[in-house]
Amino acid sequence: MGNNITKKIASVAVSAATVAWLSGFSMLVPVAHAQTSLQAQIDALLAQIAALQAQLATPSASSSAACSFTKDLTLGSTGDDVKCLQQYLNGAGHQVSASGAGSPGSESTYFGAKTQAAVAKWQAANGVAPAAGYFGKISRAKYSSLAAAAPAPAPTPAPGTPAPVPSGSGLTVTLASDQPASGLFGESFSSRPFTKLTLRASADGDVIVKALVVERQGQGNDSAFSGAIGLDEDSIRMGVAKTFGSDHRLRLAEKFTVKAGQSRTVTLAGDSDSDQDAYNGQLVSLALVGVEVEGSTAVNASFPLAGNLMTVNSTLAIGSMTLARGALDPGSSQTKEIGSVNYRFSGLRLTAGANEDVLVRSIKWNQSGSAGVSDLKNVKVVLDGVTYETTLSSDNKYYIAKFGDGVKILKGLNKEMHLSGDVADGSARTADFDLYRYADLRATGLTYGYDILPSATEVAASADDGNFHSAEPNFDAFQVTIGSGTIDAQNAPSVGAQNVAVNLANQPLGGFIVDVKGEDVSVAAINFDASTIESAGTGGTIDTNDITNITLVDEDGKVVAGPVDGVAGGNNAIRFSDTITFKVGRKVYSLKGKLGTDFASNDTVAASTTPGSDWTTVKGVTSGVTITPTPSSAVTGSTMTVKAASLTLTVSPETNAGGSDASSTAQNVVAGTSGYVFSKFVLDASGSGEDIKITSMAPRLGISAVNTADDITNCQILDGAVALNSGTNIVNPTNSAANADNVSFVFDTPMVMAKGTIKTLSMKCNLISGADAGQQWRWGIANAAGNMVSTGSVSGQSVTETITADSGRIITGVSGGTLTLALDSSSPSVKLVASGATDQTLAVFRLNATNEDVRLDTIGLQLATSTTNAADATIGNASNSPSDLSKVTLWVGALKVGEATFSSSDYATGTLSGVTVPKDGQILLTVKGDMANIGTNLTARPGHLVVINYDSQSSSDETNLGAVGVGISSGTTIAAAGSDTASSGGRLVRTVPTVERIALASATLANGAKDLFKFKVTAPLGGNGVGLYKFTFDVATSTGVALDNSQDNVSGFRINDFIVKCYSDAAFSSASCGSADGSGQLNSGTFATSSPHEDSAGSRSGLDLTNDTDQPSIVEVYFNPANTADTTQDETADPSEAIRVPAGESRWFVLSATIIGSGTTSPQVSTKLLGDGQWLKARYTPNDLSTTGDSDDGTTDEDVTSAGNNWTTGRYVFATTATRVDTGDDDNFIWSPNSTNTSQSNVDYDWLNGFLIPGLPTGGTSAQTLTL
Amino acid sequence: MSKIILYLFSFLVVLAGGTGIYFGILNNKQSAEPVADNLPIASTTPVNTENPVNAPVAERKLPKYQGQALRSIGSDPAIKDFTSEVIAIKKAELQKFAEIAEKDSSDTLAWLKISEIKKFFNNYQGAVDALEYLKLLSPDDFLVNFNLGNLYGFYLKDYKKAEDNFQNAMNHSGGAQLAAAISSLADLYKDFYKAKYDQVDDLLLLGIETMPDDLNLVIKLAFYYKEAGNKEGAIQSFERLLSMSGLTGAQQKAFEDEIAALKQT
Repeated sequence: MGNNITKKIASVAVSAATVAWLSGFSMLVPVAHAQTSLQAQIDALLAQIAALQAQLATPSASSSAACSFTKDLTLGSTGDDVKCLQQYLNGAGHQVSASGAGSPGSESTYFGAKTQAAVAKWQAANGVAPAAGYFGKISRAKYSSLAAAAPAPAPTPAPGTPAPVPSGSGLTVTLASDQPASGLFGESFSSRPFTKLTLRASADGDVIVKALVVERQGQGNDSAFSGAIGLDEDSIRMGVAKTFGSDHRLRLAEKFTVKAGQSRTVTLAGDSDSDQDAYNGQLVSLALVGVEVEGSTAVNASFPLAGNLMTVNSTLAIGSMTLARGALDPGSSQTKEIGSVNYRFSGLRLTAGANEDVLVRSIKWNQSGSAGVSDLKNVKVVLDGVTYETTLSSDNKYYIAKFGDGVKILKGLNKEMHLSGDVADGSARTADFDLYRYADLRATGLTYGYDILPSATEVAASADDGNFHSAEPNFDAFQVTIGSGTIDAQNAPSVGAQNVAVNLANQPLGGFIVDVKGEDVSVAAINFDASTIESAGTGGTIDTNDITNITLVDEDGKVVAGPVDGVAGGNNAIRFSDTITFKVGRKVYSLKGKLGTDFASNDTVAASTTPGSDWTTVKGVTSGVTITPTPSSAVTGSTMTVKAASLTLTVSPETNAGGSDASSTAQNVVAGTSGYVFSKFVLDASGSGEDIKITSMAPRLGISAVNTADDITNCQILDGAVALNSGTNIVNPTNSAANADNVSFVFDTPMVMAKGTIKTLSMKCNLISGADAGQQWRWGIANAAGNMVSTGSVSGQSVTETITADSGRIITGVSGGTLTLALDSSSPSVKLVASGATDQTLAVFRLNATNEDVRLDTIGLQLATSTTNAADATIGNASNSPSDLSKVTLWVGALKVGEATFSSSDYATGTLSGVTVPKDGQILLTVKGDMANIGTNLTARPGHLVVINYDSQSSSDETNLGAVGVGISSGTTIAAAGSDTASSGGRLVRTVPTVERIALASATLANGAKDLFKFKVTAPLGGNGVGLYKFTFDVATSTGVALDNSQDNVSGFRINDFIVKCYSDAAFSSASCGSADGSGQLNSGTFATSSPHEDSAGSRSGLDLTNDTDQPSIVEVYFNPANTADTTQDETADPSEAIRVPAGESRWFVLSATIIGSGTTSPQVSTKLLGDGQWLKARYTPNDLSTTGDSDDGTTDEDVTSAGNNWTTGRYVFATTATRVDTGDDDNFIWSPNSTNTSQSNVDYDWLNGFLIPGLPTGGTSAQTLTL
Repeated sequence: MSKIILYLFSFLVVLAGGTGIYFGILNNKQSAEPVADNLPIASTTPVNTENPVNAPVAERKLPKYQGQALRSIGSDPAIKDFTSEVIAIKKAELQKFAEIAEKDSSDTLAWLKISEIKKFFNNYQGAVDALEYLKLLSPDDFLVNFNLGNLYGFYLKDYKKAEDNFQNAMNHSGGAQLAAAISSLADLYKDFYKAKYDQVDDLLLLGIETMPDDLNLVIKLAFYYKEAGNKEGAIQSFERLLSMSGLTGAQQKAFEDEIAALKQT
């Protein structure tokens, strides 16, 4: 390669790199996809415009662009092109600045923030996206297209110069200064602004404009417009769109007023249909060529007044909006009564098309029914759940709602709209809210900025069918017929069958629900029938003329008809001729009257009416139309039974002497108790025909000894919480009272018992603090005249009283309450507890109180020692020390009531607050412990059994009992009875593994190497994982000799060579646990069973035979994964090693063996992994402290001795060395919680047996059975 | 040749510069994060040497602890009830573990101890703060989630957070720990979060299905049914207890009495 060529290549490369470097950022900035697609459309438009310009026969003065933009303009740009841009923006209605630099006439050459903002507005108005104020390639193209079609800009009035006021009577019409910019007039455009007009009335009077005459101008066809229309200041369409006549003109005849001295703005706008292909590229405008006004008002205008030309376009695909009947549309024509509120007349679903997001701005609903404006109230439009008020058009035909800044509907999505209102009047008229024209719903596409003409799937026209039609109205909604009110009567259950009194006014004769809908209804007359029935044997003669002063009363007690007297014969016996106006709603009206003395007890009376025939001249108050009341059949009220006044009095079964109720047994009451309920009295007026007034009672007082009556004081009878005798009426029995005296209780005010009711009164007294213990009191009632004084509440007539004598329950005085404490059966069983875990429930105590409520103030607690309950492996052998606990909290339900701390001794006192043990009740006191953490230099000890018991007698103060409270009534100190509890507690460990048996894929037995059992051991997250030292399997066979390691049964069935392998995956494919040879094998040599392993002496081997007979079943497996080869064959165990399961991981194990001779006896082999049935028995002797000087906490060897089965002395430590665990009787599964590190040494005091290991029950896992 | 190398070198430099600027601009947000708020973790917590993959925390960064002051014991009125000796001992402990945590923010036990001591003084928010910080390091640690559940549920009465933490503890535990988490969540539903009272049995039955030999879950279920008036459920649960191993003699008698009493009602 020549040098020059090399230079050139290098030069090009450097240039390319430089370009890439300089433009690196912008090149890598993602370009919006929409912008890319828009560019293609712009390019197409540019080509069209260029072609169009070439075709124009008469060049416009403004056919060439005023500015020549050759580069992108943005913040910081300078030059004449910037100034030209500012001039253009100012002239196009997007003023750069109102004053100073950039303002009209003061345009500058600097592109600053104001220019950027003005460009952004211009972009937004002309569909340039993104409208960010960057005047680049897209904007230049848009500018060119607009400038090409723009007429010469109208002269802009100098800033601050007021518009001229008409000098005389008339209307001045001019072009507005902010004309719609030239742009496109595409397909399915709606309300496309063309020409903006200002109409200003002279100061001497309003001007009424009758019509605007509009002419289509430009080199186009009238048919490019599907219609033209005027828009008001809010862009609301004014009236009906019109089409051009042969003179290219149309007349917009929507009348409007221009107030004197004020201006109105009207924009002439065009609609287009969905096909502009035939007119593509034409330039059209709308010119005002005439204004028709009422009267002789002069119109001052220089017609024609035309705005900018617009380019007809058939290629721009603007957005769309599809309408459908909405989900909230009523779905059918209906009749709604006057008074119906918030009725949904019509509903639409608005769906935006795929091209643009759409902004819904307003809607005009056409009310085409016969209902007047006053018939309909509160007409509102709800769009997307938001309610918008409506305004009424001047011709009262349209209800117009504007949606503020608009409601956005994203492309492809929809929103629901409906119109609702109240039906206030207009019986038999109709309400019909249609969308008369699609264009009456104004929606603007958010990408291009043009209004969109909605469309819908249309059907053949049919009136009020709730469908869309090509003919107007485009959406012909379902119609509502306004109905008149209705009235219906029913029996009122609230005025039920009841007793009524004789010769007493206003006795209920019946009740009726009158249900009025739509409008108030007036009824000129109502008749009732009355049925009277004599009780058998009364012998009297009663008729409906014995009922007098009959009234009809509303819910407020107001008489709406009557009084009238009954007419004999029953039929139409009660005749109201008063006009009654029944209000809208469901109301109860009661019929009341006075029953004459001919009526006797148990006679009955019932009233009825037949609205259809008994109610006359029934009319709607609003509509004035006649209404037929319903039903046409009789409506009968409840039957009333005549009764005399009567009352019964008994002692409540709760407190009577007979003990017929379980809770009525005699009670012990602590002396000093206030307000104790001695008795309850039941007063029954259910059989009375009249309310009853009671002025006093005289209960009977019972005492067990003379001169004790004054031990009860402040006796009151209460109706609920209200004392009937207070102040001087309070009763304080004196010692002059003898046993069984009746004591009068005079009520402060008479108590009125409603007829038909039952009431229970309470008798309360204080038992004075000095009352004699063992003495008794009771309150009952004797059946004697005067023990109850009562009369008819209104009539004052005497009452038939029935008293059931009863002495009342016995109340025995006691000096104080009692309190007992015991371990509740809901107290938890022994469990493993994670060190550091808080709020562990360790015990639940049950406290019971008798005689009185007892406030519990303190409770003695103790850490259990090892001296009790030797026979039970789960309790009484606690090994805890105070340092195993951080603190103890005490709870009653959700309430923390106290706490205790074991700071240095095994005893603590919990101070309680808010704990009251109810009399004859109980509370449960839950003891929770915050367990201390186990770790290096931390206080808690692995394996300690933490047991907290109730200390019935504190060792620190033998005179104080463990739980002490105060009797609420007596005020005396009460100490709890009961002995020390024996709760189970929790075993403290850093972590706990779980064991899970895994079923073998094949359970078929066969000779050769065979998997017998699989399982998984998992260490939880947190902590250091777990260590494993030993597994024990029970391998049972259905034959005699099976595990024959002595191999003296060479001809029979036997199982040899037990090997355990470890894997780190469930597929048993990745060897783990430190296997040296990569096989996962954990045991061999002296740990394996390939050589003779009989072990009758207890020395470790692969088989720990249950005995030295020929039928062993227990296979113990120890691990030495690093050295599984038994090279010496000396039957002497090498040191066993622990294997590890890291925190949060699992290890999978399989026990396999060699099966020999299985075909000879068809045996079964069942294998399971064994757990342990109780804690390891090891203890240490505290006295070691004196000789070793260590911490005496069982963590050194001299502290610990094997306990065997001796549980009677010493304190126990349960985490010890692995080998020491292995010497016990419970040593099947040996593991370590790795309290201080991830590889706990076998000689650390951190090893436990398999008791309580989850998944490893005492009897072992479920067995895996292999069958031939 | 040397010129070629020079040009190519220039090209690469320029290209690299442009690329650098580009990515520098785009990624300045990342680099703007305050480094001072991140402390490297040099955990002394034993790591899994067998499976180093399981010890990623050593590479993580934790935000600076922003909870309650580490050495604050709070101001609960009950503090006055402690002896001055106890307060001094606990304060010294708190000081010790605060120093450890400040030196090594990944020291799990230090944070657990800080939380434990603050809770000792009924300084529940302080205890929560310590555990919430530890949770950033060990989001799935049983003890962290379990103790947070207790603090939120039984002391701070934020039942939703308590429930979330208990459930997280349940999701990351097995065996005794799982039983403890289920039991505590059941207590929360039963006595505190009353809106979920009726979910207690569902929760306990789930635990019993997983751990059929756990006496305490069945005990809790039996007494829940009894309290809720589900006599049949209570009887069946007590009968199940009688069939399980591990009962004390007192428990055996108590549950038989419960069954008899229930059958009489």
